[in-house]
Amino acid sequence: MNVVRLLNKFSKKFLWIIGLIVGVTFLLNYIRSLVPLLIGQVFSILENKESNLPDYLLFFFNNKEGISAIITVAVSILCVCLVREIVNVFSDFIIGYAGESIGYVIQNGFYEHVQDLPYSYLNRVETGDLIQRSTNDINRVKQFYGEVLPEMINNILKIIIYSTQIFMIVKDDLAIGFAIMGFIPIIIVLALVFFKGMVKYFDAFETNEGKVSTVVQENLTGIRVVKAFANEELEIRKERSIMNRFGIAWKNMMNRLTGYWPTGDFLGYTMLLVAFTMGALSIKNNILTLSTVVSLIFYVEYLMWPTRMLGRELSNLGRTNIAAKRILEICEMPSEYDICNGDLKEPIKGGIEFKNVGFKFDDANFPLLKNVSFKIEPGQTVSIIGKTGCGKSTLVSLINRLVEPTEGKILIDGIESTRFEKKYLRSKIGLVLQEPFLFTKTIADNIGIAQGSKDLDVIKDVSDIASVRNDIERFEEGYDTLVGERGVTLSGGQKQRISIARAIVDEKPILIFDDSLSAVDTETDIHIRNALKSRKLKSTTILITHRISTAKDSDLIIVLEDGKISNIGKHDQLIKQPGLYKEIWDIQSSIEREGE
Amino acid sequence: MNEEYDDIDLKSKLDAKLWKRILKYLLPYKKYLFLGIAGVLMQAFLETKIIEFISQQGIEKYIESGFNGTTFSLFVAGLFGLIVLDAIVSRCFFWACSRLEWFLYSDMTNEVYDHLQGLSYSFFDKYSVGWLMARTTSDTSKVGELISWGFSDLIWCICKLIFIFITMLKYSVKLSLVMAIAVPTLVIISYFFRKIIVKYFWRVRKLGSQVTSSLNEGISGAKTSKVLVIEDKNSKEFDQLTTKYKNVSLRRVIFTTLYYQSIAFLSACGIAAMCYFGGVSVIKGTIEVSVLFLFISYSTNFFEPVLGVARTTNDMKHAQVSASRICNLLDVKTEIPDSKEVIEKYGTYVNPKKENWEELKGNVRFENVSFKYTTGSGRYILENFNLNVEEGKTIAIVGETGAGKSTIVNLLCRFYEPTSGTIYIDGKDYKERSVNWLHSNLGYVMQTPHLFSGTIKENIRYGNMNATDEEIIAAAKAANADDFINKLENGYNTEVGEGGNRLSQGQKQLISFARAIVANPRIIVLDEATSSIDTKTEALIQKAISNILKGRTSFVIAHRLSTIVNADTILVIQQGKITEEGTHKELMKLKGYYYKLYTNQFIDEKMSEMGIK
Repeated sequence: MNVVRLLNKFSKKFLWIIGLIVGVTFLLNYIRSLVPLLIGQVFSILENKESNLPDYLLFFFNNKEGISAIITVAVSILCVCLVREIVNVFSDFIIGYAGESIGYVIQNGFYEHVQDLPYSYLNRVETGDLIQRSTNDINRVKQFYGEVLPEMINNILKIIIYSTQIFMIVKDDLAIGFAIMGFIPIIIVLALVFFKGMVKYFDAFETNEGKVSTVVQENLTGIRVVKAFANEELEIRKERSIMNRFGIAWKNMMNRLTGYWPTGDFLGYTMLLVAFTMGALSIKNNILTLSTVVSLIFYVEYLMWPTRMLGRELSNLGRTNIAAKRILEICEMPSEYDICNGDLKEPIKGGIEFKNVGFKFDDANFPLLKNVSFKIEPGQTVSIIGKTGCGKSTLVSLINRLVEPTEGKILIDGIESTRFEKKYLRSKIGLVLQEPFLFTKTIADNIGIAQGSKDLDVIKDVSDIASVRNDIERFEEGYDTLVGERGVTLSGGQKQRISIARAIVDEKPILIFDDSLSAVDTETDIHIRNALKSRKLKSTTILITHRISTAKDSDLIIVLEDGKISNIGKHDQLIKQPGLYKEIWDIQSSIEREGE
Repeated sequence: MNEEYDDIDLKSKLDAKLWKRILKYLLPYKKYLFLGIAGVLMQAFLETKIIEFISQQGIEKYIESGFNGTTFSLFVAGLFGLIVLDAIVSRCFFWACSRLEWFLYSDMTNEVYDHLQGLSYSFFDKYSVGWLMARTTSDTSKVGELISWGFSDLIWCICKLIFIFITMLKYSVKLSLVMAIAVPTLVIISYFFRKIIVKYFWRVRKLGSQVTSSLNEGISGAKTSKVLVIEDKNSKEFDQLTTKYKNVSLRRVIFTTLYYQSIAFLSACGIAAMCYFGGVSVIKGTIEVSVLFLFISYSTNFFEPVLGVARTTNDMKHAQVSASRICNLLDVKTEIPDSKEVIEKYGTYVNPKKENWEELKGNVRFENVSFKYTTGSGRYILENFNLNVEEGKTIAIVGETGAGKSTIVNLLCRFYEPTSGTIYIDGKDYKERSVNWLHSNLGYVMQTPHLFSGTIKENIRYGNMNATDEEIIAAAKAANADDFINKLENGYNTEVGEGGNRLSQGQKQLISFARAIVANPRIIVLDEATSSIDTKTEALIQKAISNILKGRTSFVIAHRLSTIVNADTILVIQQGKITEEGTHKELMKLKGYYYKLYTNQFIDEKMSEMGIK
């Protein structure tokens, strides 16, 4: 069972808590089962017949009869029920605590684990699928541990305890016990079969409900198109036809459900009638007493509901199991910090050397990078230029160990990069990704996110360097402006510059811009690079770019073609040699000349 | 999304007008309404009777006063009959209720949906799709559910209380009064706890949606988190949120169980009281043993309906909130209505009078047009804008984001109307014709193409519902889409998926071009995409665009050099005003904004062609 495996994975202590829940629920239901006996006791007092009470309760009735015995019954009911209520509060608390804690642990574990998954996996995976798992599947599992499982335990114990009590009191006429017990499997199996069969109707209902909301949603998001083509009438017809289909699915489902509910009631009442009829006959034959039949009738009433629910819960187990499996699939993938993480935390100056580095994705047939070698001194600026898909982004993500080389070595300040602790290494390298992602926080919090401190002066300073300060200060709420769905919509350029500010908020020995400067215009690009140069710490800077104006001032230019370095050197050298760099230079300089 | 109810909303008073309006939706379904109410009444009655027969009559007649075989069989058979009848009655009642729920839900959804189609574009700018979806789908289904089931539940509870009480009075006034004391006590407890529990309910809901969105953000931002090394920080923040959620949930659990247990104890007090008072009465000989049993049975059945009343009145409050949100939406009027005279001549969008429609030639003139949003800062987005465009000419509009480019085309499309000034189409103020007339002669291609679920053919036909298959293929050819469509397994019958997500961005664009071409509009508005597309598709798109613009009055919010350079007039818009106007050559000579834009763009496009960007 995946549901058990999932629980085991996150914490073994929960198995104990579930044991405790079983124990407390047992106790609770035993106490509950005393009430019908006490009610029966009233009748055995009035009729002067034998009592069904257990000995420890019967003790209180020694030598009492008439009104004083009745008072004892009333007081006993109050006391037993008070205990029952106290135990119930206690058991609800444990169940709530266990449910919430299990949900909490699974949710947090899932969240943390996703963060720790390898970069290459996160690059490949469909975010939609992960989000689906994180919301629907986790909620289903949480609901299972918090509500469904305790309810199932409760219902099973109720059935066991009440049935046992029934057999104890009708021990002189066991036929009654068997007749009533016969209903229980029938009702459970009926519910089980019914709800299993309902799956396809529930699914049809959900699919069609989804279709209705898709149609409405598509209409509302595309309302401009609808209006521009004057197709309002068509849209209405479309909605009607899908609504009619939903109506059919609705009716199919409801017709069955409305047939089932009364059947459950019917079986319950029939069970009651059987108890009464057989009880009356048994009293006539002087086997059972009125007191016993009264208790019996109450037990039967108590049994009606749990029996019906149990079948329904059992039929839902399959879906929960699938949800648990989908969560486990993610959580059982190894974390990248468990695979050959280094432990070195030496200060880094910024020297980088690639020695015959090759890289191939697990599922690829050909290597993406082949035999790449170069050396960068601390403080140098290096540009990488090359066509889309030539391996530029992979090359830079090798430096901070987001991916690991399959061949060769990478040295940071002469030390093999795999010896560094991954998080430490990354904290010393500012990498600005091509696609900026901002968090649902204020702008100030987004910029200061990696640093922890929220020194506004620092934030203003780096916003200045990233050329986004004016933009931010033009917002009504300035640095406190909320970013994201509920906040302002930023332009692509603004997002990119904020993500640059975020990467440079504390001075880092190595900075890498993965084509992120080219999203801003040429002048801003120059401004940002100059501002970075004037900082106290001269960081080693790697720029992936397509602009010669950016590349030409670099200490080293690496031209990458098909995963290999096709040319390397300074601007003045490269423009003298035929090749990609020269081609680009020719085009770009000609345009600039045309303008002059 | 504004999906949450606030506490404030729920405190609102009973709104009789609103309820009258909602109940009107039930009027056409009198048959179901009657069946539902009759069914629920019968059910409450039968349930009360079955308990009375078993507990009182059965014990009285066949256990206390001697056993009679023949009448006993009849009695049992009669009871069984009642049980069967009860099952039949509940079936009718459930069935009627489920139908009423459906009618309420579908009628309301349809009405809201239809109403939305008639609203002007400015409305959709103000409210997010999520906000509207919440009203169109979730609120309507909530009203449907709460009114049909909640209402019948309320009737059931009240009837059952009355029936039980009447039956009790018949047997013993004294015991009935003892039992009746429980009602006010129950109401007080209920009132006290409900307030707290409802408060926690909403807090848990709110925190729950925060947890979900935080989880989603953690997933979407996982790569960035890794690069910034903030995984631990994220996890800590998430932990804080989930801890808070856990604690609030747990507090809710405690209050809920305290509530239920105090009710359970009150019920136990009822049973104990019945045992005592009833037992004493039996000893004194004022009532029979069977009556005592009946009262004990009822005392366990008495509390559920009282609690039910508390629960359903709460449900009704929720229904009222949802209903008022629906009604508020239905009360919104379109901001761009056609005048009475216009409607008389041109008809409405549901019922257009196409026979009176003039042909549109495509001369467009903006005269002193200014525009600002009715809400917001009150700053003019566009001021004293003048422009004269002759039939068949292409206008390229360039400028920075937020400069007012889209405002110009939104005004032209009459998604908005000028705050002051006039827009003439073929020399006549466009307000003198119907919105539908204009839109039927207009083609609009969005920056991010929006396709509808369905096949490619259906999506192209969206431009002109009367188009033949040949016309569709011709349009696809003109849009350069025919090639890729034919390569798909199902060709023109390929399903594009929700929002067209089974196609690439470039493919979606080509289809949206074909859709505009098949409409054969006189005026075309094109908002070019900024995001770069692979070189091959880019070449296809450029050719397709020139095909679309040919022979039509065109307004292009342009990003591609080829489009800009070939335009008859280029407008540079900065802060709501035309700062540069002319042909490509003229503007290059100015060496101003356009010149800079051109050189940057040229480098970018060349580099994309080489595959470097």
